[in-house]
Amino acid sequence: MSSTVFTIARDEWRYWRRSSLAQTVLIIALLLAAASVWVTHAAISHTTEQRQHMQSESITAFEEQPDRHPHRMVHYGHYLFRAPPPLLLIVLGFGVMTREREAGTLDFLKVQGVSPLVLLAGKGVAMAGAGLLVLTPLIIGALLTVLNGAQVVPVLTFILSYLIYIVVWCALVLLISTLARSNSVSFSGLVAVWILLCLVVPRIASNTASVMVASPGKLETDFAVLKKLRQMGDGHNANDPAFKAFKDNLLAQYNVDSVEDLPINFRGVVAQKSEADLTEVLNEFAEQQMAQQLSQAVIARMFGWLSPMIAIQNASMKLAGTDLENYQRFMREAEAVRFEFVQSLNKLHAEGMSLEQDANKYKNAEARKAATVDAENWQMLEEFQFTPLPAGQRFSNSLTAVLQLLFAAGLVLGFTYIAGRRV
Amino acid sequence: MLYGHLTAIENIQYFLSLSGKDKSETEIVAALQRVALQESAWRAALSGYSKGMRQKTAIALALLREAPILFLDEPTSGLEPVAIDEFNRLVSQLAAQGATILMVTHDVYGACHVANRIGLLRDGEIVGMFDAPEQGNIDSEAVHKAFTQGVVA
Repeated sequence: MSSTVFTIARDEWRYWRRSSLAQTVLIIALLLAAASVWVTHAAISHTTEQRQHMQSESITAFEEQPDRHPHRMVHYGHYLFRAPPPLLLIVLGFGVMTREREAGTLDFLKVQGVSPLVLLAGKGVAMAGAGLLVLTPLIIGALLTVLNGAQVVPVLTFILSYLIYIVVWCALVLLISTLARSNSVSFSGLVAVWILLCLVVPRIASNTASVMVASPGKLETDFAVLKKLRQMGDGHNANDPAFKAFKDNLLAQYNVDSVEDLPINFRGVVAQKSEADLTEVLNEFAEQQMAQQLSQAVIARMFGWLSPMIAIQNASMKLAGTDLENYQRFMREAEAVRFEFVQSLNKLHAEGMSLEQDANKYKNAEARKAATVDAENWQMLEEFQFTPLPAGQRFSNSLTAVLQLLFAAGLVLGFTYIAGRRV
Repeated sequence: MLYGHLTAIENIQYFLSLSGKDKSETEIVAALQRVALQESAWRAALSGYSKGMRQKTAIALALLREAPILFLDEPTSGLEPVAIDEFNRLVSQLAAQGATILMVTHDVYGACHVANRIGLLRDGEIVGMFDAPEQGNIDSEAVHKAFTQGVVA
Protein backbone atom coordinates (compact mmCIF):
# COMPACT_ATOMS: atom_id res chain seq x y z
CA MET A 1 0.00 0.00 0.00
CA SER A 2 2.78 2.41 0.91
CA SER A 3 4.39 1.93 -2.50
CA THR A 4 1.05 2.80 -4.14
CA VAL A 5 0.83 5.92 -1.97
CA PHE A 6 4.28 7.03 -3.08
CA THR A 7 3.56 6.14 -6.72
CA ILE A 8 0.52 8.44 -6.59
CA ALA A 9 2.53 11.14 -4.82
CA ARG A 10 5.29 10.92 -7.42
CA ASP A 11 2.74 11.22 -10.22
CA GLU A 12 1.22 14.29 -8.62
CA TRP A 13 4.68 15.83 -8.53
CA ARG A 14 5.18 14.85 -12.17
CA TYR A 15 1.92 16.62 -12.97
CA TRP A 16 3.11 19.77 -11.18
CA ARG A 17 6.47 19.61 -12.91
CA ARG A 18 4.68 19.59 -16.25
CA SER A 19 2.14 22.26 -15.34
CA SER A 20 3.41 25.76 -16.00
CA LEU A 21 0.98 27.18 -13.41
CA ALA A 22 2.19 24.81 -10.70
CA GLN A 23 5.82 25.45 -11.64
CA THR A 24 5.32 29.19 -11.49
CA VAL A 25 3.55 28.98 -8.14
CA LEU A 26 6.25 26.74 -6.68
CA ILE A 27 9.07 28.95 -7.88
CA ILE A 28 7.36 32.11 -6.64
CA ALA A 29 6.62 30.49 -3.29
CA LEU A 30 10.19 29.29 -2.91
CA LEU A 31 11.57 32.69 -3.81
CA LEU A 32 9.15 34.43 -1.45
CA ALA A 33 9.95 32.05 1.38
CA ALA A 34 13.70 32.39 0.83
CA ALA A 35 13.38 36.16 0.50
CA SER A 36 11.30 36.42 3.66
CA VAL A 37 13.86 34.40 5.64
CA TRP A 38 16.70 36.46 4.22
CA VAL A 39 14.93 39.78 4.77
CA THR A 40 14.00 38.78 8.33
CA HIS A 41 17.58 37.69 9.02
CA ALA A 42 18.95 40.88 7.46
CA ALA A 43 16.47 43.03 9.37
CA ILE A 44 17.34 41.35 12.67
CA SER A 45 21.07 41.63 12.00
CA HIS A 46 20.70 45.25 10.95
CA THR A 47 18.58 46.14 13.97
CA THR A 48 20.91 44.32 16.35
CA GLU A 49 23.94 45.94 14.78
CA GLN A 50 22.30 49.35 14.84
CA ARG A 51 21.12 48.92 18.41
CA GLN A 52 24.54 47.77 19.56
CA HIS A 53 26.19 50.60 17.67
CA MET A 54 23.83 53.21 19.05
CA GLN A 55 23.98 51.77 22.54
CA SER A 56 27.74 51.66 22.43
CA GLU A 57 27.88 55.21 21.08
CA SER A 58 25.43 56.39 23.68
CA ILE A 59 27.33 54.76 26.49
CA THR A 60 30.59 56.15 25.20
CA ALA A 61 29.08 59.59 24.76
CA PHE A 62 27.46 59.32 28.14
CA GLU A 63 30.58 58.16 29.90
CA GLU A 64 32.80 60.65 28.12
CA GLN A 65 30.76 63.55 29.35
CA PRO A 66 32.55 65.92 31.66
CA ASP A 67 31.61 66.41 35.25
CA ARG A 68 28.03 67.58 35.27
CA HIS A 69 25.11 68.46 37.37
CA PRO A 70 23.63 65.06 38.20
CA HIS A 71 20.01 65.83 37.27
CA ARG A 72 20.92 66.49 33.61
CA MET A 73 22.13 62.92 33.41
CA VAL A 74 18.71 61.60 34.39
CA HIS A 75 17.39 62.09 30.85
CA TYR A 76 19.39 59.24 29.48
CA GLY A 77 17.74 56.18 28.06
CA HIS A 78 18.65 52.86 26.57
CA TYR A 79 17.61 51.98 23.03
CA LEU A 80 15.19 49.14 23.54
CA PHE A 81 13.78 47.33 20.69
CA ARG A 82 11.80 44.17 18.97
CA ALA A 83 4.31 33.86 7.16
CA PRO A 84 3.34 30.70 5.84
CA PRO A 85 2.09 29.54 2.48
CA PRO A 86 -1.51 28.26 2.56
CA LEU A 87 -2.40 30.16 -0.60
CA LEU A 88 0.32 28.34 -2.50
CA LEU A 89 -1.04 25.00 -1.35
CA ILE A 90 -4.51 26.07 -2.49
CA VAL A 91 -3.36 27.13 -5.96
CA LEU A 92 -1.25 24.01 -6.26
CA GLY A 93 -3.72 21.50 -4.87
CA PHE A 94 -7.29 22.69 -5.37
CA GLY A 95 -7.65 20.20 -8.22
CA VAL A 96 -5.91 17.18 -6.71
CA MET A 97 -9.17 15.27 -6.45
CA THR A 98 -11.57 17.30 -8.57
CA ARG A 99 -9.19 17.00 -11.51
CA GLU A 100 -9.43 13.21 -11.27
CA ARG A 101 -13.18 13.47 -10.98
CA GLU A 102 -13.57 15.83 -13.95
CA ALA A 103 -11.25 13.75 -16.18
CA GLY A 104 -12.95 10.48 -15.26
CA THR A 105 -9.67 9.07 -13.95
CA LEU A 106 -11.08 8.78 -10.42
CA ASP A 107 -13.41 5.95 -11.45
CA PHE A 108 -10.67 4.40 -13.57
CA LEU A 109 -8.32 4.40 -10.59
CA LYS A 110 -10.99 2.75 -8.46
CA VAL A 111 -11.44 0.12 -11.16
CA GLN A 112 -7.69 -0.47 -11.01
CA GLY A 113 -8.13 -1.36 -7.37
CA VAL A 114 -6.84 1.88 -5.90
CA SER A 115 -8.89 2.71 -2.82
CA PRO A 116 -9.90 6.38 -2.47
CA LEU A 117 -8.17 6.54 0.89
CA VAL A 118 -4.90 5.36 -0.64
CA LEU A 119 -5.40 7.90 -3.41
CA LEU A 120 -5.98 10.62 -0.82
CA ALA A 121 -2.92 9.52 1.12
CA GLY A 122 -0.80 9.72 -2.04
CA LYS A 123 -2.13 13.17 -2.85
CA GLY A 124 -1.58 14.20 0.75
CA VAL A 125 2.05 13.07 0.65
CA ALA A 126 2.56 15.07 -2.55
CA MET A 127 0.98 18.15 -0.98
CA ALA A 128 3.04 17.75 2.18
CA GLY A 129 6.14 17.53 0.00
CA ALA A 130 5.24 20.83 -1.65
CA GLY A 131 4.63 22.39 1.75
CA LEU A 132 7.95 21.07 3.00
CA LEU A 133 9.70 22.51 -0.02
CA VAL A 134 8.24 25.92 0.68
CA LEU A 135 9.22 25.63 4.33
CA THR A 136 12.78 24.62 3.48
CA PRO A 137 14.24 28.15 3.67
CA LEU A 138 12.47 28.66 7.00
CA ILE A 139 13.78 25.33 8.32
CA ILE A 140 17.32 26.09 7.16
CA GLY A 141 17.09 29.58 8.64
CA ALA A 142 15.82 28.18 11.94
CA LEU A 143 18.54 25.53 12.07
CA LEU A 144 21.16 28.18 11.35
CA THR A 145 20.01 30.04 14.44
CA VAL A 146 20.91 26.91 16.43
CA LEU A 147 24.42 27.09 14.99
CA ASN A 148 24.48 30.72 16.08
CA GLY A 149 23.63 29.78 19.64
CA ALA A 150 19.83 29.52 19.74
CA GLN A 151 18.47 26.77 21.98
CA VAL A 152 17.53 23.55 20.22
CA VAL A 153 14.19 22.75 21.85
CA PRO A 154 12.34 25.97 20.95
CA VAL A 155 13.79 25.92 17.42
CA LEU A 156 12.74 22.32 16.82
CA THR A 157 9.30 23.01 18.29
CA PHE A 158 9.08 26.06 16.05
CA ILE A 159 9.85 23.92 12.98
CA LEU A 160 7.44 21.22 14.16
CA SER A 161 4.68 23.80 14.64
CA TYR A 162 5.09 25.03 11.08
CA LEU A 163 5.07 21.44 9.83
CA ILE A 164 1.77 20.81 11.64
CA TYR A 165 0.45 24.05 10.20
CA ILE A 166 1.34 22.83 6.73
CA VAL A 167 -0.33 19.48 7.43
CA VAL A 168 -3.51 21.33 8.44
CA TRP A 169 -3.60 23.22 5.16
CA CYS A 170 -2.72 20.15 3.07
CA ALA A 171 -5.58 18.29 4.73
CA LEU A 172 -7.94 21.23 4.18
CA VAL A 173 -7.05 21.36 0.49
CA LEU A 174 -7.57 17.60 0.20
CA LEU A 175 -10.86 17.77 2.08
CA ILE A 176 -12.39 20.53 -0.02
CA SER A 177 -11.07 19.02 -3.25
CA THR A 178 -12.61 15.68 -2.24
CA LEU A 179 -15.97 17.21 -1.38
CA ALA A 180 -16.22 19.54 -4.40
CA ARG A 181 -17.69 18.37 -7.67
CA SER A 182 -15.50 20.51 -9.89
CA ASN A 183 -12.21 22.41 -9.96
CA SER A 184 -13.94 25.78 -9.85
CA VAL A 185 -16.05 24.85 -6.82
CA SER A 186 -12.97 23.50 -5.06
CA PHE A 187 -10.92 26.62 -5.79
CA SER A 188 -13.59 29.08 -4.72
CA GLY A 189 -14.37 27.00 -1.62
CA LEU A 190 -10.72 26.95 -0.60
CA VAL A 191 -10.28 30.67 -1.16
CA ALA A 192 -13.37 31.25 1.00
CA VAL A 193 -11.89 29.06 3.74
CA TRP A 194 -8.56 30.92 3.48
CA ILE A 195 -10.32 34.28 3.78
CA LEU A 196 -12.29 32.99 6.76
CA LEU A 197 -9.35 31.47 8.64
CA CYS A 198 -6.63 33.95 7.76
CA LEU A 199 -8.52 37.25 7.59
CA VAL A 200 -11.98 37.07 9.14
CA VAL A 201 -11.34 34.99 12.28
CA PRO A 202 -8.22 36.98 13.31
CA ARG A 203 -10.23 40.18 12.88
CA ILE A 204 -13.12 38.73 14.92
CA ALA A 205 -10.59 37.64 17.55
CA SER A 206 -9.14 41.12 18.01
CA ASN A 207 -12.58 42.78 17.90
CA THR A 208 -13.99 40.33 20.44
CA ALA A 209 -11.01 40.88 22.72
CA SER A 210 -11.34 44.66 22.59
CA VAL A 211 -15.11 44.48 23.18
CA MET A 212 -14.79 42.04 26.10
CA VAL A 213 -11.94 43.95 27.74
CA ALA A 214 -12.58 47.59 26.99
CA SER A 215 -9.52 49.76 27.34
CA PRO A 216 -9.58 53.56 27.60
CA GLY A 217 -8.37 55.51 24.60
CA LYS A 218 -4.97 57.20 24.50
CA LEU A 219 -6.42 60.69 25.04
CA GLU A 220 -8.47 59.54 28.01
CA THR A 221 -5.41 57.86 29.58
CA ASP A 222 -3.19 60.86 28.87
CA PHE A 223 -5.66 63.19 30.58
CA ALA A 224 -5.97 60.89 33.59
CA VAL A 225 -2.16 60.69 33.90
CA LEU A 226 -1.80 64.47 33.53
CA LYS A 227 -4.45 65.07 36.15
CA LYS A 228 -2.62 62.89 38.65
CA LEU A 229 0.75 64.39 37.80
CA ARG A 230 -0.54 67.92 38.23
CA GLN A 231 -1.56 67.11 41.80
CA MET A 232 1.97 65.96 42.54
CA GLY A 233 3.86 69.14 41.69
CA ASP A 234 6.88 69.87 39.56
CA GLY A 235 9.91 67.93 40.71
CA HIS A 236 12.20 70.45 39.00
CA ASN A 237 10.83 73.22 41.21
CA ALA A 238 11.48 72.65 44.89
CA ASN A 239 9.35 75.71 45.72
CA ASP A 240 6.23 74.16 44.20
CA PRO A 241 3.46 74.45 46.85
CA ALA A 242 2.72 70.75 46.32
CA PHE A 243 5.90 69.99 48.27
CA LYS A 244 5.01 72.14 51.27
CA ALA A 245 3.88 69.26 53.49
CA PHE A 246 6.90 67.24 52.43
CA LYS A 247 9.17 70.20 53.23
CA ASP A 248 7.56 70.69 56.65
CA ASN A 249 7.99 67.03 57.50
CA LEU A 250 11.60 67.09 56.38
CA LEU A 251 12.37 70.20 58.44
CA ALA A 252 10.72 68.58 61.44
CA GLN A 253 12.65 65.36 60.87
CA TYR A 254 15.98 67.19 60.90
CA ASN A 255 14.79 69.62 63.54
CA VAL A 256 15.73 72.73 61.49
CA ASP A 257 13.81 75.83 60.49
CA SER A 258 14.76 76.24 56.86
CA VAL A 259 15.85 74.15 53.90
CA GLU A 260 19.18 75.95 53.92
CA ASP A 261 19.91 74.38 57.33
CA LEU A 262 19.24 70.85 56.11
CA PRO A 263 22.34 68.58 55.97
CA ILE A 264 21.19 67.47 52.52
CA ASN A 265 20.32 69.31 49.29
CA PHE A 266 16.59 69.97 49.46
CA ARG A 267 16.34 70.21 45.67
CA GLY A 268 17.88 66.77 45.27
CA VAL A 269 15.55 65.29 47.88
CA VAL A 270 12.57 66.83 46.08
CA ALA A 271 13.84 65.37 42.81
CA GLN A 272 14.09 61.93 44.48
CA LYS A 273 10.61 62.13 45.92
CA SER A 274 9.17 63.54 42.73
CA GLU A 275 10.76 60.78 40.66
CA ALA A 276 9.43 58.11 43.03
CA ASP A 277 5.92 59.58 42.99
CA LEU A 278 5.95 60.11 39.23
CA THR A 279 7.19 56.60 38.61
CA GLU A 280 4.55 55.17 40.91
CA VAL A 281 1.78 56.97 39.00
CA LEU A 282 3.13 56.09 35.58
CA ASN A 283 3.72 52.49 36.60
CA GLU A 284 0.21 52.26 37.98
CA PHE A 285 -1.25 53.38 34.64
CA ALA A 286 1.21 51.21 32.72
CA GLU A 287 0.31 48.15 34.81
CA GLN A 288 -3.41 48.79 34.25
CA GLN A 289 -2.81 49.08 30.53
CA MET A 290 -0.60 46.00 30.42
CA ALA A 291 -3.18 43.98 32.37
CA GLN A 292 -5.85 45.03 29.87
CA GLN A 293 -3.63 44.18 26.91
CA LEU A 294 -2.83 40.81 28.43
CA SER A 295 -6.51 40.01 29.06
CA GLN A 296 -7.25 40.96 25.46
CA ALA A 297 -4.37 38.82 24.20
CA VAL A 298 -5.59 35.83 26.25
CA ILE A 299 -9.06 36.15 24.67
CA ALA A 300 -7.64 36.62 21.17
CA ARG A 301 -5.40 33.56 21.61
CA MET A 302 -8.45 31.39 22.36
CA PHE A 303 -9.42 31.90 18.73
CA GLY A 304 -6.43 29.73 17.89
CA TRP A 305 -8.85 26.83 18.41
CA LEU A 306 -10.75 28.16 15.38
CA SER A 307 -7.98 29.48 13.17
CA PRO A 308 -4.69 27.62 12.65
CA MET A 309 -3.16 30.93 11.58
CA ILE A 310 -3.76 32.43 15.01
CA ALA A 311 -2.41 29.23 16.56
CA ILE A 312 0.82 29.31 14.53
CA GLN A 313 1.30 33.00 15.31
CA ASN A 314 0.91 32.26 19.00
CA ALA A 315 3.22 29.25 18.86
CA SER A 316 5.80 31.18 16.89
CA MET A 317 5.79 34.18 19.25
CA LYS A 318 5.81 32.05 22.38
CA LEU A 319 8.76 30.00 21.11
CA ALA A 320 10.68 33.05 19.91
CA GLY A 321 9.97 34.82 23.18
CA THR A 322 8.37 37.78 21.42
CA ASP A 323 4.93 37.39 22.97
CA LEU A 324 3.15 40.08 24.96
CA GLU A 325 4.17 38.64 28.33
CA ASN A 326 7.84 38.85 27.35
CA TYR A 327 7.41 42.34 25.99
CA GLN A 328 5.84 43.42 29.25
CA ARG A 329 8.63 41.74 31.25
CA PHE A 330 11.11 43.60 29.06
CA MET A 331 9.36 46.91 29.73
CA ARG A 332 9.27 46.31 33.50
CA GLU A 333 12.94 45.32 33.63
CA ALA A 334 13.97 48.30 31.51
CA GLU A 335 11.89 50.60 33.69
CA ALA A 336 13.45 49.17 36.86
CA VAL A 337 16.93 49.86 35.47
CA ARG A 338 15.93 53.37 34.48
CA PHE A 339 14.39 54.10 37.88
CA GLU A 340 17.36 52.77 39.81
CA PHE A 341 19.77 54.79 37.70
CA VAL A 342 17.74 57.99 37.94
CA GLN A 343 17.40 57.67 41.68
CA SER A 344 21.12 57.05 42.10
CA LEU A 345 21.75 60.33 40.28
CA ASN A 346 19.11 62.09 42.36
CA LYS A 347 20.83 60.71 45.47
CA LEU A 348 24.07 62.27 44.25
CA HIS A 349 22.14 65.49 43.75
CA ALA A 350 20.84 65.34 47.29
CA GLU A 351 23.99 64.22 49.03
CA GLY A 352 26.85 65.24 46.74
CA MET A 353 26.37 69.00 46.71
CA SER A 354 24.95 71.64 48.96
CA LEU A 355 21.79 73.60 48.27
CA GLU A 356 23.87 76.76 48.08
CA GLN A 357 26.15 75.33 45.40
CA ASP A 358 23.10 74.09 43.55
CA ALA A 359 21.24 77.41 43.75
CA ASN A 360 24.23 79.43 42.57
CA LYS A 361 25.25 77.19 39.71
CA TYR A 362 24.41 79.77 37.01
CA LYS A 363 26.29 82.65 38.60
CA ASN A 364 29.66 82.01 37.01
CA ALA A 365 31.92 79.30 35.71
CA GLU A 366 33.40 78.58 39.09
CA ALA A 367 29.96 78.21 40.67
CA ARG A 368 28.92 75.93 37.81
CA LYS A 369 31.94 73.73 38.37
CA ALA A 370 31.16 73.57 42.07
CA ALA A 371 27.67 72.29 41.26
CA THR A 372 28.89 69.18 39.48
CA VAL A 373 29.69 65.66 40.55
CA ASP A 374 32.51 63.57 39.29
CA ALA A 375 32.07 61.88 35.89
CA GLU A 376 33.06 58.50 37.26
CA ASN A 377 29.63 58.37 38.88
CA TRP A 378 28.05 57.57 35.54
CA GLN A 379 30.88 55.61 34.07
CA MET A 380 29.77 52.82 36.39
CA LEU A 381 26.47 52.46 34.50
CA GLU A 382 26.18 48.92 33.21
CA GLU A 383 24.67 48.06 29.86
CA PHE A 384 21.07 46.87 30.17
CA GLN A 385 20.84 43.15 29.43
CA PHE A 386 17.48 41.49 28.84
CA THR A 387 17.63 37.78 29.56
CA PRO A 388 15.46 35.67 27.25
CA LEU A 389 13.20 33.08 28.85
CA PRO A 390 14.81 29.65 29.29
CA ALA A 391 14.16 27.14 26.49
CA GLY A 392 12.01 24.90 28.68
CA GLN A 393 9.75 27.75 29.66
CA ARG A 394 9.34 28.97 26.10
CA PHE A 395 8.50 25.40 25.11
CA SER A 396 5.90 25.01 27.86
CA ASN A 397 4.44 28.45 27.05
CA SER A 398 3.91 27.35 23.46
CA LEU A 399 2.11 24.11 24.34
CA THR A 400 -1.44 25.49 24.16
CA ALA A 401 -0.80 26.91 20.69
CA VAL A 402 0.84 23.66 19.56
CA LEU A 403 -2.17 21.77 20.92
CA GLN A 404 -4.45 24.10 18.95
CA LEU A 405 -2.52 23.21 15.81
CA LEU A 406 -2.66 19.49 16.60
CA PHE A 407 -6.39 19.79 17.24
CA ALA A 408 -6.90 21.49 13.87
CA ALA A 409 -4.76 18.85 12.13
CA GLY A 410 -6.66 16.00 13.81
CA LEU A 411 -10.03 17.54 13.03
CA VAL A 412 -9.34 18.22 9.36
CA LEU A 413 -7.59 14.88 8.83
CA GLY A 414 -10.58 13.15 10.45
CA PHE A 415 -13.02 14.90 8.15
CA THR A 416 -10.80 14.13 5.16
CA TYR A 417 -10.79 10.45 6.16
CA ILE A 418 -14.60 10.43 6.36
CA ALA A 419 -14.89 12.24 3.03
CA GLY A 420 -12.39 9.81 1.48
CA ARG A 421 -14.45 6.82 2.55
CA ARG A 422 -17.46 8.28 0.74
CA VAL A 423 -15.69 8.84 -2.58
CA MET B 1 -9.90 8.10 -18.56
CA LEU B 2 -6.10 8.23 -18.84
CA TYR B 3 -3.86 11.13 -17.84
CA GLY B 4 -3.33 13.88 -20.38
CA HIS B 5 -0.03 15.01 -18.86
CA LEU B 6 1.54 11.57 -19.31
CA THR B 7 2.67 9.80 -22.47
CA ALA B 8 1.16 6.48 -23.51
CA ILE B 9 4.11 4.60 -22.04
CA GLU B 10 4.01 6.61 -18.79
CA ASN B 11 0.25 6.13 -18.46
CA ILE B 12 0.60 2.40 -18.85
CA GLN B 13 3.57 2.22 -16.49
CA TYR B 14 1.71 4.26 -13.90
CA PHE B 15 -1.52 2.25 -13.94
CA LEU B 16 0.36 -1.05 -14.03
CA SER B 17 2.43 -0.05 -11.02
CA LEU B 18 -0.75 0.94 -9.15
CA SER B 19 -2.12 -2.54 -9.71
CA GLY B 20 1.22 -4.12 -8.85
CA LYS B 21 1.76 -5.57 -12.32
CA ASP B 22 4.88 -3.77 -13.47
CA LYS B 23 6.04 -4.55 -17.02
CA SER B 24 9.18 -3.71 -18.90
CA GLU B 25 9.17 -0.97 -21.50
CA THR B 26 9.72 -3.63 -24.17
CA GLU B 27 6.50 -5.35 -23.15
CA ILE B 28 4.65 -2.03 -23.13
CA VAL B 29 5.95 -1.17 -26.59
CA ALA B 30 4.87 -4.59 -27.81
CA ALA B 31 1.36 -3.98 -26.48
CA LEU B 32 1.22 -0.57 -28.15
CA GLN B 33 2.31 -2.17 -31.41
CA ARG B 34 -0.37 -4.80 -30.93
CA VAL B 35 -3.10 -2.16 -30.70
CA ALA B 36 -1.53 -0.36 -33.68
CA LEU B 37 -0.77 2.93 -31.97
CA GLN B 38 1.66 4.76 -34.20
CA GLU B 39 5.20 4.84 -32.80
CA SER B 40 5.49 8.63 -33.02
CA ALA B 41 2.77 8.91 -30.36
CA TRP B 42 4.26 6.61 -27.74
CA ARG B 43 6.29 9.29 -26.03
CA ALA B 44 3.91 12.20 -26.58
CA ALA B 45 1.54 13.51 -23.93
CA LEU B 46 -1.95 12.05 -24.20
CA SER B 47 -3.41 15.56 -24.13
CA GLY B 48 -2.50 15.73 -27.83
CA TYR B 49 -4.10 12.35 -28.70
CA SER B 50 -7.27 11.77 -30.64
CA LYS B 51 -10.01 9.78 -28.93
CA GLY B 52 -9.14 6.72 -30.98
CA MET B 53 -5.51 6.88 -29.91
CA ARG B 54 -6.58 7.10 -26.28
CA GLN B 55 -8.83 4.06 -26.75
CA LYS B 56 -5.91 2.12 -28.16
CA THR B 57 -3.70 3.10 -25.22
CA ALA B 58 -6.40 1.99 -22.78
CA ILE B 59 -6.73 -1.33 -24.58
CA ALA B 60 -2.95 -1.82 -24.53
CA LEU B 61 -3.11 -1.27 -20.78
CA ALA B 62 -5.91 -3.81 -20.42
CA LEU B 63 -3.94 -6.34 -22.45
CA LEU B 64 -0.86 -5.84 -20.31
CA ARG B 65 -2.94 -6.26 -17.19
CA GLU B 66 -3.99 -9.57 -18.69
CA ALA B 67 -7.60 -8.70 -18.10
CA PRO B 68 -9.78 -11.78 -18.67
CA ILE B 69 -12.53 -9.66 -20.22
CA LEU B 70 -12.38 -6.29 -21.93
CA PHE B 71 -15.42 -4.13 -21.24
CA LEU B 72 -15.71 -1.45 -23.90
CA ASP B 73 -18.39 1.17 -23.33
CA GLU B 74 -19.23 3.05 -26.52
CA PRO B 75 -15.59 2.91 -27.69
CA THR B 76 -16.37 4.26 -31.16
CA SER B 77 -18.57 7.19 -30.19
CA GLY B 78 -17.05 10.41 -31.42
CA LEU B 79 -14.59 8.66 -33.70
CA GLU B 80 -14.30 9.51 -37.37
CA PRO B 81 -15.25 6.71 -39.85
CA VAL B 82 -11.65 5.73 -40.63
CA ALA B 83 -10.84 5.53 -36.93
CA ILE B 84 -14.01 3.46 -36.32
CA ASP B 85 -12.98 1.07 -39.01
CA GLU B 86 -9.48 0.82 -37.61
CA PHE B 87 -10.82 0.26 -34.10
CA ASN B 88 -13.21 -2.46 -35.22
CA ARG B 89 -10.33 -4.22 -36.95
CA LEU B 90 -8.38 -4.09 -33.67
CA VAL B 91 -11.30 -5.59 -31.74
CA SER B 92 -11.67 -8.40 -34.31
CA GLN B 93 -7.95 -9.03 -34.15
CA LEU B 94 -7.95 -9.23 -30.33
CA ALA B 95 -10.96 -11.52 -30.39
CA ALA B 96 -9.23 -13.73 -32.92
CA GLN B 97 -6.26 -13.91 -30.56
CA GLY B 98 -8.56 -15.21 -27.83
CA ALA B 99 -9.57 -12.06 -25.94
CA THR B 100 -13.09 -11.94 -24.52
CA ILE B 101 -14.64 -8.57 -25.26
CA LEU B 102 -17.95 -7.16 -24.10
CA MET B 103 -18.73 -4.00 -25.99
CA VAL B 104 -21.66 -1.62 -25.66
CA THR B 105 -22.36 0.35 -28.83
CA HIS B 106 -25.02 2.10 -30.87
CA ASP B 107 -23.09 1.28 -34.05
CA VAL B 108 -25.21 -1.65 -35.22
CA TYR B 109 -23.37 -2.24 -38.50
CA GLY B 110 -19.93 -2.02 -36.87
CA ALA B 111 -21.00 -4.43 -34.14
CA CYS B 112 -22.27 -6.93 -36.72
CA HIS B 113 -18.85 -6.93 -38.32
CA VAL B 114 -16.87 -7.67 -35.16
CA ALA B 115 -19.21 -9.55 -32.80
CA ASN B 116 -19.80 -13.29 -32.40
CA ARG B 117 -22.98 -12.54 -30.55
CA ILE B 118 -25.15 -9.45 -30.25
CA GLY B 119 -27.68 -8.83 -27.51
CA LEU B 120 -30.19 -6.10 -28.18
CA LEU B 121 -30.94 -4.12 -25.05
CA ARG B 122 -34.07 -2.12 -24.44
CA ASP B 123 -35.04 -0.59 -21.10
CA GLY B 124 -32.37 -2.69 -19.40
CA GLU B 125 -33.60 -5.98 -20.82
CA ILE B 126 -32.27 -8.15 -23.62
CA VAL B 127 -34.97 -8.16 -26.29
CA GLY B 128 -33.09 -10.04 -28.98
CA MET B 129 -30.02 -12.26 -29.43
CA PHE B 130 -28.12 -12.67 -32.69
CA ASP B 131 -25.28 -15.18 -33.19
CA ALA B 132 -22.76 -15.13 -35.98
CA PRO B 133 -22.83 -18.11 -38.34
CA GLU B 134 -19.83 -20.44 -38.60
CA GLN B 135 -18.63 -18.43 -41.57
CA GLY B 136 -19.29 -14.69 -42.01
CA ASN B 137 -20.88 -11.97 -39.95
CA ILE B 138 -24.17 -11.49 -38.14
CA ASP B 139 -26.93 -10.32 -40.47
CA SER B 140 -26.83 -6.59 -39.95
CA GLU B 141 -30.17 -6.03 -41.69
CA ALA B 142 -31.94 -8.29 -39.22
CA VAL B 143 -30.36 -6.58 -36.24
CA HIS B 144 -31.07 -3.15 -37.68
CA LYS B 145 -34.67 -4.05 -38.34
CA ALA B 146 -35.17 -5.37 -34.81
CA PHE B 147 -33.43 -2.31 -33.44
CA THR B 148 -35.43 0.28 -35.38
CA GLN B 149 -38.74 -1.51 -34.91
CA GLY B 150 -38.18 -1.52 -31.23
CA VAL B 151 -37.38 2.12 -31.24
CA VAL B 152 -40.47 3.01 -33.28
CA ALA B 153 -42.63 0.76 -31.12
